[in-house]
Amino acid sequence: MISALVKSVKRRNDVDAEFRAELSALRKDMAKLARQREDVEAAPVPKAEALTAVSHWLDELEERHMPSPGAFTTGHVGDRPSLKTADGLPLAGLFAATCRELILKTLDDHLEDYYENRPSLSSEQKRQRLAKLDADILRLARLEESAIREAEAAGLPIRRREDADPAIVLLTDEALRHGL
Amino acid sequence: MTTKTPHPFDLDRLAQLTAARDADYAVLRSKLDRVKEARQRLAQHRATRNDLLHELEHAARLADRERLQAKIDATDKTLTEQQAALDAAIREEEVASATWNASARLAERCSKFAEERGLALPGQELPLRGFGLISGI
Repeated sequence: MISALVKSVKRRNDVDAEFRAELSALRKDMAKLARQREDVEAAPVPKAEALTAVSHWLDELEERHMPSPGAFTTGHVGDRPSLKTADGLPLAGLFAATCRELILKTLDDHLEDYYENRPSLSSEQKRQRLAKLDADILRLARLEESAIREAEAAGLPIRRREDADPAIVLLTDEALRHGL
Repeated sequence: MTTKTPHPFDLDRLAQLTAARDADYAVLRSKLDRVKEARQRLAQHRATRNDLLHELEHAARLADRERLQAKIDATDKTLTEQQAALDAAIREEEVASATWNASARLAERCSKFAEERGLALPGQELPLRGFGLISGI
């Protein structure tokens, strides 16, 4: 009798340890996916997109901050665009208009260095990868919650992660099963 | 007439999370009480040791001095044990505190989630709102 009980307790402990190990592996996979998501989010856009952004920025600088010719025709120093402003925007506008190719070439060289060891992703690629990662994270989170509920039902209480998704933790059993 | 859209959430789960958090809080309180008791016991024994030292300084007879020194040695041994017990109680309290904080945060987030979707009333199932509740104990 005692021997059977001891065996039963041992079996239960083995199942407990096995379950906890599986849950721990599942949580590690989720953490890995979350890190991958951060990497994808932080990935730069391709160099061509970055150069287009530079070009648009120069357009805006030229359109908005080009000094008016009249500022130099009155003979009064006070009418000239101020060089005391911290950003020196009128001068920047002038450079954008006159040295555009040089500025683009300079930034192109800088971007070449910047991209040397950084894989880039287009906006569409980024969107697709994030959607895939989110779907994978959601699937694992549902599996995790489902496993916790099964364990609870079997009298094996498991702590949920404090950053568990409420949209999954609060699901009805039926809704949770439906998404698996 | 307005009709409520059915939702896939089970508010009993929110109640379970709140109950789990409250159970964790009860554990934490008991651990805090144990730390407090252990501190008091340690302070009491330190006071006893000081009294014995005082007596030793004024004891004239050798026999009394030996008896008092033996008592001080025994008190030192107890103090070491009680310091270890206090350290262990503090470690347990730290674990219980982390556990309670984690379950309180999850309950709070789930409650907020339910409130934002109009599933639960503000504050529903959350009588122990706020994490600073036991600070300073």
